[in-house]
Amino acid sequence: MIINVNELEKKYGKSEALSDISFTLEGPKIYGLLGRNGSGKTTFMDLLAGHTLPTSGSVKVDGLETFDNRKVTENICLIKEANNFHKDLKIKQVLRAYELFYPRWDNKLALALIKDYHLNLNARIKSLSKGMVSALGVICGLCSKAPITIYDEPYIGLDAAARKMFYDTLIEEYEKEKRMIIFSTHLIDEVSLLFEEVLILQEGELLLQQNADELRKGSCVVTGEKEQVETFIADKDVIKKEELAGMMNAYIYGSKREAEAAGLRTESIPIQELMIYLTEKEGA
Amino acid sequence: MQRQLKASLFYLSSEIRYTAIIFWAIILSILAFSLVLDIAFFKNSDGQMMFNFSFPLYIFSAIVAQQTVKGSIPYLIKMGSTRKNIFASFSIYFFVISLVNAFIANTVHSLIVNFYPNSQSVVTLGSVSNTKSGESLSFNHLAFFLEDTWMTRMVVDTTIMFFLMAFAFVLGLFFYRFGLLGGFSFIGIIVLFFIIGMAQGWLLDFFVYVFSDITLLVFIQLFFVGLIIYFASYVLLRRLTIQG
Repeated sequence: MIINVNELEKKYGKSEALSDISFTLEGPKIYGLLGRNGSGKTTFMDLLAGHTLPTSGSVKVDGLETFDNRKVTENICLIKEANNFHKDLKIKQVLRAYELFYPRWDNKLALALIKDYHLNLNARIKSLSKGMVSALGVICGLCSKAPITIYDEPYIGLDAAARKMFYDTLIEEYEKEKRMIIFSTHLIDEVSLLFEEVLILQEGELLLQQNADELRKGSCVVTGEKEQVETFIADKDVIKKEELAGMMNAYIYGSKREAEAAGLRTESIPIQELMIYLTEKEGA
Repeated sequence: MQRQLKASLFYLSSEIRYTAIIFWAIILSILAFSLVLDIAFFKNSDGQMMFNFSFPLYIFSAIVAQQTVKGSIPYLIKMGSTRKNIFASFSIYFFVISLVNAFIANTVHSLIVNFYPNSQSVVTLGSVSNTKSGESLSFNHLAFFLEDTWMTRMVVDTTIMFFLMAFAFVLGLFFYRFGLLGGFSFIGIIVLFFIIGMAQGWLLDFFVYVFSDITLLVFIQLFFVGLIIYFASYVLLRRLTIQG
Protein backbone atom coordinates (compact mmCIF):
# COMPACT_ATOMS: atom_id res chain seq x y z
CA MET A 1 0.00 0.00 0.00
CA ILE A 2 1.13 3.53 -0.69
CA ILE A 3 0.38 6.51 1.53
CA ASN A 4 0.72 9.86 -0.20
CA VAL A 5 0.83 12.88 2.04
CA ASN A 6 0.51 16.05 0.03
CA GLU A 7 0.92 19.55 1.53
CA LEU A 8 -0.95 18.35 4.60
CA GLU A 9 -1.90 21.04 7.06
CA LYS A 10 -3.90 20.77 10.26
CA LYS A 11 -4.77 23.69 12.51
CA TYR A 12 -6.54 23.62 15.86
CA GLY A 13 -7.80 27.17 16.19
CA LYS A 14 -4.72 29.34 15.75
CA SER A 15 -2.24 26.61 16.61
CA GLU A 16 -0.75 24.70 13.73
CA ALA A 17 -0.23 20.98 14.41
CA LEU A 18 0.98 20.10 10.90
CA SER A 19 2.25 22.60 8.41
CA ASP A 20 2.33 21.67 4.73
CA ILE A 21 4.09 18.35 5.04
CA SER A 22 4.54 16.10 2.04
CA PHE A 23 6.00 12.61 1.92
CA THR A 24 5.28 9.11 0.74
CA LEU A 25 5.22 5.86 2.69
CA GLU A 26 5.35 2.61 0.85
CA GLY A 27 4.65 -0.73 2.45
CA PRO A 28 5.11 -3.35 3.58
CA LYS A 29 7.62 -1.85 5.96
CA ILE A 30 8.01 -0.99 9.65
CA TYR A 31 8.14 2.78 10.07
CA GLY A 32 9.25 4.62 13.17
CA LEU A 33 7.37 7.88 13.48
CA LEU A 34 9.37 9.91 15.95
CA GLY A 35 9.36 13.37 17.40
CA ARG A 36 8.99 15.26 20.62
CA ASN A 37 5.70 15.98 22.37
CA GLY A 38 3.55 18.26 20.24
CA SER A 39 5.48 17.54 17.06
CA GLY A 40 2.31 16.47 15.21
CA LYS A 41 2.69 12.67 15.28
CA THR A 42 -0.74 11.92 16.76
CA THR A 43 -2.40 14.49 14.51
CA PHE A 44 -0.86 12.82 11.47
CA MET A 45 -1.97 9.37 12.62
CA ASP A 46 -5.52 10.62 13.25
CA LEU A 47 -5.63 12.08 9.76
CA LEU A 48 -4.26 8.91 8.23
CA ALA A 49 -6.85 6.78 10.02
CA GLY A 50 -9.64 9.12 8.88
CA HIS A 51 -10.52 10.22 12.40
CA THR A 52 -10.18 13.91 11.60
CA LEU A 53 -10.17 16.17 8.56
CA PRO A 54 -7.18 18.16 7.38
CA THR A 55 -7.34 21.95 7.22
CA SER A 56 -5.79 21.72 3.78
CA GLY A 57 -3.84 19.24 1.70
CA SER A 58 -4.52 15.54 1.56
CA VAL A 59 -3.54 12.13 2.83
CA LYS A 60 -4.38 9.31 0.46
CA VAL A 61 -3.97 5.56 0.63
CA ASP A 62 -3.54 3.95 -2.78
CA GLY A 63 -4.96 7.15 -4.25
CA LEU A 64 -8.10 7.13 -2.05
CA GLU A 65 -9.06 9.73 0.55
CA THR A 66 -8.94 8.28 4.06
CA PHE A 67 -11.81 10.24 5.62
CA ASP A 68 -15.07 8.28 5.72
CA ASN A 69 -13.94 5.78 3.13
CA ARG A 70 -14.71 2.18 4.04
CA LYS A 71 -12.31 0.76 1.44
CA VAL A 72 -9.50 2.55 3.25
CA THR A 73 -10.59 2.46 6.90
CA GLU A 74 -11.09 -1.31 6.97
CA ASN A 75 -7.43 -1.57 5.99
CA ILE A 76 -6.20 0.73 8.75
CA CYS A 77 -6.06 -0.14 12.43
CA LEU A 78 -4.93 2.61 14.79
CA ILE A 79 -4.24 1.67 18.39
CA LYS A 80 -3.65 4.64 20.65
CA GLU A 81 -2.25 4.85 24.15
CA ALA A 82 -5.74 5.12 25.72
CA ASN A 83 -9.48 5.18 25.01
CA ASN A 84 -9.40 2.42 22.44
CA PHE A 85 -12.30 0.52 24.00
CA HIS A 86 -15.60 1.33 25.67
CA LYS A 87 -15.23 0.66 29.39
CA ASP A 88 -18.49 -1.27 29.76
CA LEU A 89 -17.58 -3.90 27.17
CA LYS A 90 -16.16 -7.32 27.96
CA ILE A 91 -12.90 -8.41 26.34
CA LYS A 92 -14.72 -11.07 24.29
CA GLN A 93 -17.11 -8.40 22.98
CA VAL A 94 -14.20 -6.17 21.96
CA LEU A 95 -12.57 -9.06 20.10
CA ARG A 96 -15.84 -9.92 18.35
CA ALA A 97 -16.36 -6.29 17.31
CA TYR A 98 -12.83 -6.12 15.86
CA GLU A 99 -13.41 -9.43 14.12
CA LEU A 100 -16.50 -8.01 12.44
CA PHE A 101 -14.85 -4.73 11.49
CA TYR A 102 -11.53 -6.07 10.19
CA PRO A 103 -11.89 -8.57 7.34
CA ARG A 104 -8.44 -10.09 7.91
CA TRP A 105 -8.89 -10.59 11.68
CA ASP A 106 -6.99 -13.60 13.09
CA ASN A 107 -9.12 -14.96 15.91
CA LYS A 108 -6.85 -17.92 16.63
CA LEU A 109 -3.93 -15.60 17.25
CA ALA A 110 -6.13 -13.32 19.36
CA LEU A 111 -7.16 -16.15 21.67
CA ALA A 112 -3.56 -17.36 21.96
CA LEU A 113 -2.35 -13.87 22.87
CA ILE A 114 -5.21 -13.36 25.34
CA LYS A 115 -3.91 -16.48 27.09
CA ASP A 116 -0.27 -15.34 26.89
CA TYR A 117 -1.13 -11.97 28.45
CA HIS A 118 -3.28 -13.67 31.13
CA LEU A 119 -6.44 -11.80 30.20
CA ASN A 120 -9.91 -13.03 31.10
CA LEU A 121 -12.31 -12.98 28.15
CA ASN A 122 -15.24 -12.20 30.45
CA ALA A 123 -13.57 -9.27 32.20
CA ARG A 124 -14.97 -5.81 31.53
CA ILE A 125 -12.58 -3.12 30.29
CA LYS A 126 -13.27 -0.97 33.34
CA SER A 127 -12.04 -3.77 35.62
CA LEU A 128 -8.67 -4.05 33.85
CA SER A 129 -5.41 -2.45 34.91
CA LYS A 130 -3.72 0.06 32.60
CA GLY A 131 -1.26 -2.62 31.51
CA MET A 132 -4.03 -5.09 30.71
CA VAL A 133 -5.87 -2.52 28.58
CA SER A 134 -2.61 -1.83 26.74
CA ALA A 135 -2.12 -5.57 26.23
CA LEU A 136 -5.61 -5.79 24.71
CA GLY A 137 -4.71 -2.85 22.47
CA VAL A 138 -1.57 -4.46 21.11
CA ILE A 139 -3.47 -7.73 20.61
CA CYS A 140 -6.18 -5.97 18.60
CA GLY A 141 -3.58 -4.22 16.47
CA LEU A 142 -1.66 -7.42 15.77
CA CYS A 143 -4.71 -9.58 15.10
CA SER A 144 -6.50 -7.05 12.90
CA LYS A 145 -3.91 -7.97 10.26
CA ALA A 146 -4.77 -4.59 8.78
CA PRO A 147 -2.41 -3.78 5.87
CA ILE A 148 -1.70 -0.49 7.66
CA THR A 149 -1.37 -0.98 11.41
CA ILE A 150 -0.56 2.09 13.46
CA TYR A 151 0.60 2.04 17.07
CA ASP A 152 0.64 5.34 18.92
CA GLU A 153 2.37 4.74 22.26
CA PRO A 154 0.46 1.47 22.60
CA TYR A 155 2.05 0.09 25.73
CA ILE A 156 1.57 2.52 28.58
CA GLY A 157 1.59 0.39 31.71
CA LEU A 158 2.95 -2.75 30.07
CA ASP A 159 5.91 -4.17 31.98
CA ALA A 160 9.24 -4.93 30.28
CA ALA A 161 8.47 -8.64 29.87
CA ALA A 162 5.09 -7.94 28.29
CA ARG A 163 6.67 -5.38 25.96
CA LYS A 164 9.30 -7.90 24.91
CA MET A 165 6.59 -10.45 24.22
CA PHE A 166 4.84 -7.86 22.06
CA TYR A 167 8.00 -7.08 20.05
CA ASP A 168 8.67 -10.79 19.55
CA THR A 169 5.12 -11.47 18.37
CA LEU A 170 5.21 -8.41 16.14
CA ILE A 171 8.37 -9.62 14.39
CA GLU A 172 7.03 -13.16 14.14
CA GLU A 173 3.75 -12.02 12.60
CA TYR A 174 5.51 -9.52 10.35
CA GLU A 175 7.75 -12.28 9.01
CA LYS A 176 4.73 -14.48 8.35
CA GLU A 177 2.68 -11.76 6.71
CA LYS A 178 4.32 -8.48 5.84
CA ARG A 179 2.31 -5.27 6.19
CA MET A 180 2.91 -1.60 6.88
CA ILE A 181 3.39 -0.91 10.57
CA ILE A 182 3.75 2.66 11.76
CA PHE A 183 5.15 2.88 15.23
CA SER A 184 5.16 6.02 17.31
CA THR A 185 6.81 5.73 20.69
CA HIS A 186 9.00 7.53 23.17
CA LEU A 187 10.71 4.24 24.14
CA ILE A 188 12.77 4.49 20.95
CA ASP A 189 15.76 2.48 22.15
CA GLU A 190 13.56 -0.56 22.73
CA VAL A 191 12.10 -0.68 19.24
CA SER A 192 14.58 1.16 17.04
CA LEU A 193 16.03 -2.09 15.72
CA LEU A 194 12.61 -2.98 14.33
CA PHE A 195 12.43 0.18 12.25
CA GLU A 196 13.14 -0.10 8.55
CA GLU A 197 12.54 3.57 7.92
CA VAL A 198 12.42 6.53 10.26
CA LEU A 199 10.43 9.75 10.06
CA ILE A 200 11.08 12.55 12.49
CA LEU A 201 8.53 15.29 12.92
CA GLN A 202 9.42 18.60 14.51
CA GLU A 203 6.84 21.28 15.27
CA GLY A 204 4.51 20.06 12.54
CA GLU A 205 7.18 19.71 9.89
CA LEU A 206 8.99 16.70 8.52
CA LEU A 207 12.56 16.94 9.75
CA LEU A 208 13.85 13.68 8.37
CA GLN A 209 12.78 10.61 6.43
CA GLN A 210 15.46 8.04 5.98
CA ASN A 211 16.12 4.34 5.81
CA ALA A 212 16.96 3.24 9.36
CA ASP A 213 20.13 1.36 8.39
CA GLU A 214 21.41 4.28 6.35
CA LEU A 215 20.66 6.55 9.25
CA ARG A 216 22.59 4.35 11.67
CA LYS A 217 25.51 3.92 9.27
CA GLY A 218 25.46 7.46 7.97
CA SER A 219 25.88 9.13 11.31
CA CYS A 220 28.36 8.69 14.14
CA VAL A 221 29.98 10.39 17.05
CA VAL A 222 33.70 11.12 16.64
CA THR A 223 35.96 11.69 19.63
CA GLY A 224 39.46 13.10 19.79
CA GLU A 225 41.52 16.17 20.58
CA LYS A 226 39.66 19.36 19.88
CA GLU A 227 41.87 20.62 17.01
CA GLN A 228 41.94 17.22 15.34
CA VAL A 229 38.12 16.89 15.53
CA GLU A 230 37.60 20.48 14.40
CA THR A 231 39.76 19.85 11.33
CA PHE A 232 37.91 16.64 10.52
CA ILE A 233 34.41 18.10 10.84
CA ALA A 234 35.18 21.31 8.95
CA ASP A 235 33.44 20.05 5.80
CA LYS A 236 30.91 17.80 7.56
CA ASP A 237 27.30 18.29 8.54
CA VAL A 238 27.54 18.52 12.33
CA ILE A 239 24.54 17.68 14.49
CA LYS A 240 26.06 18.57 17.86
CA LYS A 241 29.44 19.27 19.50
CA GLU A 242 30.55 18.72 23.10
CA GLU A 243 33.88 19.86 24.60
CA LEU A 244 35.55 18.77 27.79
CA ALA A 245 39.16 19.28 28.91
CA GLY A 246 40.59 19.77 25.42
CA MET A 247 38.70 16.82 24.04
CA MET A 248 35.75 17.02 21.71
CA ASN A 249 32.78 14.80 20.80
CA ALA A 250 31.14 15.67 17.52
CA TYR A 251 27.89 14.08 16.30
CA ILE A 252 28.10 14.12 12.52
CA TYR A 253 26.65 12.80 9.31
CA GLY A 254 29.54 10.83 7.91
CA SER A 255 31.11 7.39 7.81
CA LYS A 256 32.96 5.87 10.74
CA ARG A 257 35.66 4.56 8.42
CA GLU A 258 36.67 8.04 7.29
CA ALA A 259 36.87 9.26 10.88
CA GLU A 260 38.88 6.25 11.98
CA ALA A 261 41.27 6.81 9.06
CA ALA A 262 41.78 10.32 10.43
CA GLY A 263 42.81 8.79 13.77
CA LEU A 264 39.61 9.55 15.63
CA ARG A 265 37.59 7.23 17.83
CA THR A 266 34.05 6.57 16.64
CA GLU A 267 30.78 5.24 18.00
CA SER A 268 27.33 4.73 16.51
CA ILE A 269 24.57 7.08 17.54
CA PRO A 270 21.43 5.32 18.80
CA ILE A 271 18.31 6.52 16.95
CA GLN A 272 16.84 7.86 20.18
CA GLU A 273 19.86 10.12 20.76
CA LEU A 274 19.93 11.11 17.14
CA MET A 275 16.31 12.18 17.37
CA ILE A 276 17.06 14.19 20.51
CA TYR A 277 20.08 15.92 18.96
CA LEU A 278 18.32 16.60 15.70
CA THR A 279 15.29 18.12 17.37
CA GLU A 280 17.57 20.13 19.71
CA LYS A 281 19.57 21.33 16.75
CA GLU A 282 16.42 22.52 15.08
CA GLY A 283 15.64 24.60 18.12
CA ALA A 284 13.13 22.51 20.04
CA MET B 1 -21.40 -2.17 4.02
CA GLN B 2 -23.40 -5.13 5.31
CA ARG B 3 -20.46 -6.42 7.36
CA GLN B 4 -19.86 -2.97 8.85
CA LEU B 5 -23.55 -2.63 9.68
CA LYS B 6 -23.48 -5.99 11.44
CA ALA B 7 -20.33 -4.96 13.29
CA SER B 8 -21.81 -1.64 14.43
CA LEU B 9 -25.04 -3.26 15.56
CA PHE B 10 -23.10 -5.91 17.48
CA TYR B 11 -21.02 -3.19 19.12
CA LEU B 12 -24.05 -1.07 20.04
CA SER B 13 -26.04 -4.02 21.35
CA SER B 14 -23.08 -5.14 23.48
CA GLU B 15 -22.75 -1.65 24.85
CA ILE B 16 -26.44 -1.16 25.72
CA ARG B 17 -26.87 -4.62 27.24
CA TYR B 18 -25.13 -3.76 30.51
CA THR B 19 -26.96 -0.41 30.93
CA ALA B 20 -30.32 -1.93 29.98
CA ILE B 21 -29.91 -4.81 32.44
CA ILE B 22 -29.22 -2.34 35.25
CA PHE B 23 -32.17 -0.14 34.22
CA TRP B 24 -34.62 -3.03 34.03
CA ALA B 25 -33.31 -4.57 37.24
CA ILE B 26 -34.10 -1.29 39.02
CA ILE B 27 -37.54 -0.86 37.42
CA LEU B 28 -38.60 -4.45 38.04
CA SER B 29 -37.28 -4.32 41.60
CA ILE B 30 -39.39 -1.21 42.23
CA LEU B 31 -42.39 -3.01 40.73
CA ALA B 32 -41.79 -6.06 42.93
CA PHE B 33 -41.42 -3.80 45.96
CA SER B 34 -44.67 -2.03 45.00
CA LEU B 35 -46.47 -5.36 44.83
CA VAL B 36 -45.14 -6.31 48.26
CA LEU B 37 -46.26 -2.94 49.64
CA ASP B 38 -49.65 -3.36 48.01
CA ILE B 39 -50.17 -6.77 49.53
CA ALA B 40 -48.92 -5.61 52.91
CA PHE B 41 -50.65 -2.23 53.27
CA PHE B 42 -53.16 -1.34 50.57
CA LYS B 43 -54.97 -4.55 49.64
CA ASN B 44 -57.99 -4.11 51.84
CA SER B 45 -57.87 -0.38 52.40
CA ASP B 46 -58.79 2.82 50.54
CA GLY B 47 -55.13 3.50 49.71
CA GLN B 48 -53.98 3.53 46.09
CA MET B 49 -50.63 3.04 44.40
CA MET B 50 -49.86 4.22 40.87
CA PHE B 51 -47.20 2.62 38.73
CA ASN B 52 -45.88 3.93 35.40
CA PHE B 53 -43.41 2.19 33.13
CA SER B 54 -43.59 4.66 30.29
CA PHE B 55 -42.08 7.83 31.68
CA PRO B 56 -38.93 6.18 33.13
CA LEU B 57 -38.57 4.45 29.76
CA TYR B 58 -38.94 7.69 27.82
CA ILE B 59 -36.30 9.37 29.99
CA PHE B 60 -34.00 6.33 29.76
CA SER B 61 -34.28 6.20 25.97
CA ALA B 62 -33.59 9.90 25.56
CA ILE B 63 -30.54 9.71 27.86
CA VAL B 64 -29.21 6.63 26.02
CA ALA B 65 -29.54 8.38 22.66
CA GLN B 66 -27.90 11.57 23.89
CA GLN B 67 -25.05 9.75 25.62
CA THR B 68 -24.44 7.43 22.71
CA VAL B 69 -23.09 10.31 20.63
CA LYS B 70 -20.12 10.81 22.90
CA GLY B 71 -19.97 7.25 24.19
CA SER B 72 -20.23 5.16 21.03
CA ILE B 73 -19.61 7.13 17.86
CA PRO B 74 -15.90 7.80 18.56
CA TYR B 75 -15.28 4.09 19.18
CA LEU B 76 -17.10 3.12 16.00
CA ILE B 77 -15.03 5.59 13.98
CA LYS B 78 -11.87 4.26 15.63
CA MET B 79 -12.77 0.77 14.41
CA GLY B 80 -13.14 2.06 10.88
CA SER B 81 -16.88 2.63 10.67
CA THR B 82 -18.01 5.16 8.09
CA ARG B 83 -20.46 7.94 8.98
CA LYS B 84 -23.04 6.46 6.58
CA ASN B 85 -22.78 3.16 8.41
CA ILE B 86 -23.15 4.91 11.77
CA PHE B 87 -26.24 6.70 10.45
CA ALA B 88 -27.79 3.45 9.20
CA SER B 89 -26.92 1.40 12.28
CA PHE B 90 -28.20 4.01 14.75
CA SER B 91 -31.58 4.18 13.01
CA ILE B 92 -31.99 0.42 13.46
CA TYR B 93 -30.56 0.60 16.98
CA PHE B 94 -32.99 3.31 18.11
CA PHE B 95 -35.96 1.55 16.60
CA VAL B 96 -35.05 -1.81 18.12
CA ILE B 97 -34.42 -0.28 21.56
CA SER B 98 -37.82 1.44 21.41
CA LEU B 99 -39.51 -1.75 20.31
CA VAL B 100 -37.79 -4.03 22.85
CA ASN B 101 -38.34 -1.67 25.78
CA ALA B 102 -41.99 -1.17 24.80
CA PHE B 103 -42.41 -4.93 24.48
CA ILE B 104 -40.97 -5.69 27.93
CA ALA B 105 -42.83 -2.84 29.65
CA ASN B 106 -46.20 -3.63 28.11
CA THR B 107 -45.93 -7.36 28.48
CA VAL B 108 -45.15 -6.97 32.19
CA HIS B 109 -47.98 -4.40 32.41
CA SER B 110 -50.43 -6.87 30.82
CA LEU B 111 -49.25 -9.77 32.96
CA ILE B 112 -49.70 -7.83 36.19
CA VAL B 113 -53.07 -6.34 35.21
CA ASN B 114 -54.37 -9.73 34.10
CA PHE B 115 -52.96 -11.91 36.81
CA TYR B 116 -52.68 -9.68 39.88
CA PRO B 117 -56.25 -9.27 41.10
CA ASN B 118 -55.83 -5.86 42.73
CA SER B 119 -54.45 -4.04 39.69
CA GLN B 120 -55.85 -2.17 36.71
CA SER B 121 -54.89 0.25 33.91
CA VAL B 122 -55.81 3.90 34.30
CA VAL B 123 -55.25 7.17 32.49
CA THR B 124 -51.86 8.78 33.07
CA LEU B 125 -53.00 12.33 33.43
CA GLY B 126 -56.20 11.48 35.30
CA SER B 127 -56.71 11.27 39.01
CA VAL B 128 -56.74 8.30 41.31
CA SER B 129 -60.53 8.60 41.45
CA ASN B 130 -60.59 6.93 38.01
CA THR B 131 -59.60 3.68 39.64
CA LYS B 132 -62.19 1.11 40.42
CA SER B 133 -62.89 0.44 44.05
CA GLY B 134 -61.01 -2.47 45.53
CA GLU B 135 -58.18 -2.25 43.00
CA SER B 136 -55.33 -0.73 44.89
CA LEU B 137 -52.46 -0.97 42.31
CA SER B 138 -52.97 1.07 39.17
CA PHE B 139 -50.87 1.05 36.01
CA ASN B 140 -51.20 4.24 34.10
CA HIS B 141 -50.45 4.75 30.46
CA LEU B 142 -51.10 7.29 27.72
CA ALA B 143 -52.88 4.59 25.73
CA PHE B 144 -55.81 4.87 28.11
CA PHE B 145 -56.82 7.89 25.98
CA LEU B 146 -57.22 5.44 23.13
CA GLU B 147 -58.13 1.80 23.36
CA ASP B 148 -56.08 0.35 26.19
CA THR B 149 -54.70 -2.83 24.61
CA TRP B 150 -51.23 -4.32 24.53
CA MET B 151 -50.84 -3.40 20.87
CA THR B 152 -51.96 0.21 21.37
CA ARG B 153 -49.54 0.64 24.24
CA MET B 154 -46.78 -0.89 22.10
CA VAL B 155 -47.41 1.61 19.30
CA VAL B 156 -47.64 4.57 21.68
CA ASP B 157 -44.45 3.69 23.58
CA THR B 158 -42.42 2.73 20.51
CA THR B 159 -43.30 5.89 18.60
CA ILE B 160 -42.73 8.23 21.56
CA MET B 161 -39.42 6.57 22.43
CA PHE B 162 -38.20 6.68 18.84
CA PHE B 163 -39.15 10.34 18.56
CA LEU B 164 -37.37 11.19 21.82
CA MET B 165 -34.29 9.19 20.82
CA ALA B 166 -34.05 10.96 17.47
CA PHE B 167 -34.42 14.33 19.14
CA ALA B 168 -31.91 13.54 21.91
CA PHE B 169 -29.48 12.20 19.29
CA VAL B 170 -29.58 15.48 17.38
CA LEU B 171 -29.17 17.37 20.66
CA GLY B 172 -26.17 15.18 21.53
CA LEU B 173 -24.66 15.84 18.10
CA PHE B 174 -25.03 19.60 18.63
CA PHE B 175 -23.21 19.36 21.95
CA TYR B 176 -20.54 17.07 20.47
CA ARG B 177 -19.84 19.18 17.39
CA PHE B 178 -20.30 22.69 18.70
CA GLY B 179 -19.57 22.30 22.41
CA LEU B 180 -21.62 23.70 25.29
CA LEU B 181 -22.28 26.94 23.44
CA GLY B 182 -23.69 25.15 20.40
CA GLY B 183 -25.71 22.69 22.47
CA PHE B 184 -27.28 25.28 24.71
CA SER B 185 -27.91 27.58 21.74
CA PHE B 186 -29.87 24.74 20.13
CA ILE B 187 -31.87 24.27 23.35
CA GLY B 188 -32.37 28.05 23.48
CA ILE B 189 -33.83 28.07 19.96
CA ILE B 190 -36.24 25.25 20.86
CA VAL B 191 -37.33 27.07 24.04
CA LEU B 192 -37.76 30.30 22.08
CA PHE B 193 -39.89 28.46 19.55
CA PHE B 194 -42.15 27.23 22.37
CA ILE B 195 -42.36 30.65 24.02
CA ILE B 196 -43.28 32.37 20.74
CA GLY B 197 -45.76 29.59 19.91
CA MET B 198 -47.44 29.86 23.31
CA ALA B 199 -47.45 33.68 23.26
CA GLN B 200 -49.04 33.83 19.82
CA GLY B 201 -51.40 31.01 20.69
CA TRP B 202 -50.82 28.78 17.68
CA LEU B 203 -48.84 26.18 19.64
CA LEU B 204 -51.57 25.93 22.27
CA ASP B 205 -54.18 25.61 19.52
CA PHE B 206 -52.11 22.86 17.98
CA PHE B 207 -51.95 20.88 21.24
CA VAL B 208 -55.68 21.36 21.87
CA TYR B 209 -56.39 20.18 18.33
CA VAL B 210 -54.18 17.10 18.73
CA PHE B 211 -55.34 16.03 22.20
CA SER B 212 -59.05 16.81 21.79
CA ASP B 213 -59.40 14.03 19.27
CA ILE B 214 -56.38 11.87 19.91
CA THR B 215 -56.05 8.74 17.79
CA LEU B 216 -53.33 6.22 17.13
CA LEU B 217 -52.57 8.14 13.95
CA VAL B 218 -51.15 10.99 16.03
CA PHE B 219 -48.49 8.63 17.42
CA ILE B 220 -47.72 7.21 14.00
CA GLN B 221 -47.29 10.78 12.76
CA LEU B 222 -45.01 11.41 15.72
CA PHE B 223 -42.89 8.46 14.58
CA PHE B 224 -42.53 10.01 11.13
CA VAL B 225 -41.61 13.36 12.68
CA GLY B 226 -38.94 11.43 14.61
CA LEU B 227 -37.74 9.92 11.32
CA ILE B 228 -37.47 13.38 9.73
CA ILE B 229 -35.49 14.63 12.74
CA TYR B 230 -33.28 11.55 12.47
CA PHE B 231 -32.65 12.14 8.75
CA ALA B 232 -31.68 15.72 9.58
CA SER B 233 -29.01 14.38 11.95
CA TYR B 234 -26.97 13.24 8.95
CA VAL B 235 -26.05 16.85 8.26
CA LEU B 236 -24.27 16.90 11.63
CA LEU B 237 -22.95 13.36 11.34
CA ARG B 238 -21.51 13.60 7.82
CA ARG B 239 -18.27 15.38 8.74
CA LEU B 240 -18.06 14.26 12.36
CA THR B 241 -14.53 13.82 13.68
CA ILE B 242 -13.12 12.34 16.85
CA GLN B 243 -12.43 14.96 19.46
CA GLY B 244 -9.69 14.43 22.03
